[in-house]
Amino acid sequence: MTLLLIALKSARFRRTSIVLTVLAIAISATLLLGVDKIRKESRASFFNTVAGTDLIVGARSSPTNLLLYSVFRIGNATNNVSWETYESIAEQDEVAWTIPIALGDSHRGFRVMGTSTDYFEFYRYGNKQQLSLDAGERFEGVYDAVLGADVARDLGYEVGNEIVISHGLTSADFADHDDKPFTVVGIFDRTGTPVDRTVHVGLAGIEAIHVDFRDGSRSGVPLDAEQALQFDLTPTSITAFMVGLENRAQTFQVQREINEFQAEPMSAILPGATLSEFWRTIAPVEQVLFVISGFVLFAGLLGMLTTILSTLNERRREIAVLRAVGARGRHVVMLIVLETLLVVTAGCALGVGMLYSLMSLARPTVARRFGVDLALTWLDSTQLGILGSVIGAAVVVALIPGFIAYRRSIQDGLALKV
Amino acid sequence: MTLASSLCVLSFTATACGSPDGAGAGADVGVDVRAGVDIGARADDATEIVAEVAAPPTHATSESPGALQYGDPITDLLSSPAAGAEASAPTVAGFRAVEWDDLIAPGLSGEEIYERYREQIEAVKPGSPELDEIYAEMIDEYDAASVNPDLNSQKIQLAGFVAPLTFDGEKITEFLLVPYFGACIHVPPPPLNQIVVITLAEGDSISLEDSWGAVWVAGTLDAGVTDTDLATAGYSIAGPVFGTYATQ
Repeated sequence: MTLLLIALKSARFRRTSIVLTVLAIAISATLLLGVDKIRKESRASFFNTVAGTDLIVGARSSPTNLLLYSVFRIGNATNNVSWETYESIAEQDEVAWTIPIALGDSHRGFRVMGTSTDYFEFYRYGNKQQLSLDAGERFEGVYDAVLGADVARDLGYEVGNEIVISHGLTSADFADHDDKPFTVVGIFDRTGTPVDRTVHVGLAGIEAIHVDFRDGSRSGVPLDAEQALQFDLTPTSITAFMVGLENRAQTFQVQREINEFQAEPMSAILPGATLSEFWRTIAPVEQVLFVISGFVLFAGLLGMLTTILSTLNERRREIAVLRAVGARGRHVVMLIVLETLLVVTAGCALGVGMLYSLMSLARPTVARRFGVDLALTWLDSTQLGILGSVIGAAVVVALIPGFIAYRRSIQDGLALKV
Repeated sequence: MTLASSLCVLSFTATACGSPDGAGAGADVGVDVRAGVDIGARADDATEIVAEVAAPPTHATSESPGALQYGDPITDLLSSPAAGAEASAPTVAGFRAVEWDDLIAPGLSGEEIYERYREQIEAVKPGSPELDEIYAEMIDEYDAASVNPDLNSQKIQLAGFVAPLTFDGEKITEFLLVPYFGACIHVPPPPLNQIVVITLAEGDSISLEDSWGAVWVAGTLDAGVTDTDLATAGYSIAGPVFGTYATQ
């Protein structure tokens, strides 16, 4: 206890160098923990997003691209799938259910997804959980919309509000479908998946707002909301669809049938397998990041060692006095180690603080741009292990100056020549 | 059906079946008894076996995912030291070690079909339309991919690769066990009788890293043949004992 007091009091006289060392340790701890956190959260976010879907089908493209745009709303489709093709596959005996997906429009930065009510029935996330409504009900009318939790929260919407959907992914005024506003009829519970950041409407709604569009831009004859309802609102094409099978052993057979579908080139993917494959290509990057943060920590510890060694000279007299009043050699070593322990613990604590403040700052942006929800959960066992090994490594490093100080304290005695 | 695709399927058959000297070849291939592993284990002891077996290979498999190439059959990994993989798995007492060939209904393996058609093939000119017809017939027979009813309800042990289906967090709880690596990406996909749907017991899971290597599974095989409806045919195993292979 006395030793701790001495260490603290002695440290007060070397404030600047100690604060800087604490900062260096804090930064490396933040990096190490941050890399681990991002790795885990991004994995969890991705793997929790699709559950129970056996196949995802879209226009012919790379499996990863198809998965990213259909489920994570990252990137864009290469082409559409015609409605006839969709129907012919949905009607096959092996197919239990399908969820059509029509993308391409947005609302103030959030993607709009056209789908059918089967979405409420069959879409699963996390550990096969079904989507549930926090408020309101499912969409039924053509101009009904159900919002994800983040959309409602960020934009302050409630059931009954009217929203205007923009054509494409910009929020430029000229591309607004402002003549056909949608009414918010429901809001989903939070899922921690891209569903939270999506505006859901019926396929007929998507069709209706594009009735007066020709070749991708507005035609000369505008039609208002009521007039649009007079048209046949069966979609001509959709972006992609999810498939649930009667018998999962047939996954590969149905996948093959779809890939070899003569009328239209399509890709069918197993979401889980594609995700795993995708992560397998990313794994080396994760490792590289981890190695880099390891080096940053190493540099931090080296810096700490340098600081302690350089202050040892200034502390010769202090240590000599301590020895003179009865401190033993091991007390000297302990003093140095204790000081290091304090510095590193403070550094780690500051690092954790920095990590959480950075995470809470970056959370909305990261969620929106990368679809990864950085949940502010407490440190898990790996992360505590990382902190523990940082502290352990620092103590080992501190033994070097500790031993030098001990040796010198014997040699120097009180006869210090300045 | 073109000649090229016929050959492709047939060549797949050959790799999936592994040894050139026929189906009976490697009943004991690659399944060594590892010292220190509790052999008298029953299915109830699943977690202990998993803990013992899965722990050491975790690093081995995660460090060398690049060693596997798409389409690598499990037989290569288990039988050839040249591939740099000395595989080992405990034999779980009470479970019969089977090969992927055994899952094919008797008389319908690629070799057996080829044997039956060999004379016809040799009789016609290479590249002729007649040959295409013969290939088409062979493919039809092969594509029927009938399950082997003899294996229904049998306690078997089988090695293969993982195509994940369901995740709990980043852990895999349900997957398709397939005879060659990257079956979900590699075309053509394996036929119905070369896929086993594995549903792990509550609380069991395989990590993503482990799923990139070979695994073994021991459990009661359900061939789905109780129903005459074609839609239910296909192999599945629920709540198996399982582990990963050490690839040194």
